[in-house]
Amino acid sequence: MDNILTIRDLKVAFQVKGKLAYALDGINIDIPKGKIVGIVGESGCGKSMTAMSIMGLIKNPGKIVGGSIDFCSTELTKISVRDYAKIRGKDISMIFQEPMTSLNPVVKVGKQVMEAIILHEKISKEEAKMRVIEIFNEVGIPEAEKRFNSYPHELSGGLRQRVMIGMAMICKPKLLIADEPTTALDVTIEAQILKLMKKLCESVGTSIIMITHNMGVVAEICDYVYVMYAGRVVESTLTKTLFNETAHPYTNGLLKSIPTIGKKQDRLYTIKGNVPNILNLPEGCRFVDRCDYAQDICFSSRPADEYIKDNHMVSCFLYKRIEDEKCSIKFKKHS
Amino acid sequence: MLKNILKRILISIPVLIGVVLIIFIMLRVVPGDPVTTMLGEHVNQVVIDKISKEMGLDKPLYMQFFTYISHAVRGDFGTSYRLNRNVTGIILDAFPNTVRLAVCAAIVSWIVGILSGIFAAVNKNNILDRLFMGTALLGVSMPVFMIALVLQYLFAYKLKIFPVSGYETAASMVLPSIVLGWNSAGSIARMTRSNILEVMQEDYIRTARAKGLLEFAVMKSHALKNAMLPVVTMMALQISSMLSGAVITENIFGIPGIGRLAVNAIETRDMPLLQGTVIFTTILVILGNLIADSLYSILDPRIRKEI
Repeated sequence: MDNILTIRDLKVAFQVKGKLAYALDGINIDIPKGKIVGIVGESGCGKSMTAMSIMGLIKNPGKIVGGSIDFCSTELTKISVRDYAKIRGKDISMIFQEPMTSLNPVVKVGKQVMEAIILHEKISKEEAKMRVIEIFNEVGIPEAEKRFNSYPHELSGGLRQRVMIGMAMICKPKLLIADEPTTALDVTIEAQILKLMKKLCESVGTSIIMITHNMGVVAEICDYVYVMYAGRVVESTLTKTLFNETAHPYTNGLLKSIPTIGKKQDRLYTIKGNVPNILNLPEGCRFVDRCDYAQDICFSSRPADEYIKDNHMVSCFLYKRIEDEKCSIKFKKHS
Repeated sequence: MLKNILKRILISIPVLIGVVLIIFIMLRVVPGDPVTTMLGEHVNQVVIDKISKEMGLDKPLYMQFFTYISHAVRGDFGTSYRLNRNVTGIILDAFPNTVRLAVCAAIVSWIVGILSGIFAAVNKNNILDRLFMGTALLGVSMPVFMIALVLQYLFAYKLKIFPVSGYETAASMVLPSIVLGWNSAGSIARMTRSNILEVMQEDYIRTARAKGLLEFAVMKSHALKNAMLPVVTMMALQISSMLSGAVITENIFGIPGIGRLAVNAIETRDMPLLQGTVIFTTILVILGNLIADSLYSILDPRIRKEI
């Protein structure tokens, strides 16, 4: 399969009190063309940091200290600020979590969307305006012509997120990064927005990176999933495989934490403990303090990426192939 | 919008009447009789009574007040005791000098203040930022008379580049404009800097960057408009206070403007003139506030409807 984006051994670190704190510590991600790839994990696990590294928008004092990001044969970690700006918004665009604050409050929404297209395409203002109204219609904004002249505060959260999607899709990007696009919206709108994104991307052939902590969203639209924990990818596989053949204890914990409708539970399942501080990480596996299956080796060394099947990577000592013995444990199916 | 502005103007009328009332009472409570001050000591009581009667000072206070108000609404603020001229005329003669100084100072402070604020924000926390903000802090915290005297000493007395005082030539306006403008330039620069730095952290700036805009364009078309909203309000308020007469600056540089007029009126107990200048400046301040509010609502669509 063709990958439009390949991330290899990417490391992003922050200089904190003279010490390097790794927010991303050697992650590998492949984004196939035209597919939807989910990145899930708890807050602070590096999901958004991954997105910002791809966009080249990591805030100071963070910076990429190693690895590569290859986007359609362009090495993004090495290109100039100007070249990056040409890719941003055109070939790679992004939708953010908070539609309420992601639009400039004093500029008309139509103008904000128009800005993106005028920047990247040789096009007259009239044509650009037509295109904006066209995309507003496509993303389901009623009375698109009238809404062109609206200010963000005059629109509802759902409409604003539609504007953001329009802005991200107007240049027909090759890759769309959606950073928790539906977290701030209510559930009925969530489904509409997800469906819309999926439809638009299918028609243009755009790949999507869907960053979320919502397993429901993953199950609904993602083809492939990366599970991240404390700056590392701990498991990655096809969505179906992830739910049916869960391998990593952390993924298992995540899936078990979803309450099931119709089943009476006295106490909801939680993964014990907290996400480790990136300034003070355990020496071996980062999940070791919270893992029910921890062995001695987990405390001392870092597990390697093991492929237990084609397309199914797990970073856990439970799956270290000792002689011909395969997976040592089987988790219950989650579906 | 027009309706709202009209509403604001109507609300200002009671404010104006209140100010007139307070000034009126205060001037009559303070010790010293205007007639004695005017005529000097050792004057016959009969003469004093006669003149008091002529000026209407023998009538009860409320009568005096109503007479004053009824004249004032027709643009007649009485006759100056000292100069024996119509107060309105005196103020209108002095006002252009104040306007000239205020406009020069405002231009200095806006251009210098805004540009150095942006410059400092772009160079956040490095030596240039410190230098600019240090200069701004100096302007904000040094008393005006001290800046005036130091500049006079350096540029007029020692270097002889600009005249010590006066108001006729363009060169003579330079030092007073700097003196008057430095202070407001300082506060504008500090506010511009901190607002830009705050706005640059907003989500919509990230969106603008994600669109592919370069830093300069992000600053120009997204950050500045948001960051300048409060600064514009401050600028409108500052110009109204500058127009109300820079008392100290005008006195030190010998510019016969509103501020100097007010000080002279206080020194000579020239009640009609003092009342006139205070009312005049009150109107200016009210106008300044009105303009500030309207500007804010023009620039910020979020409050356009509310005002």
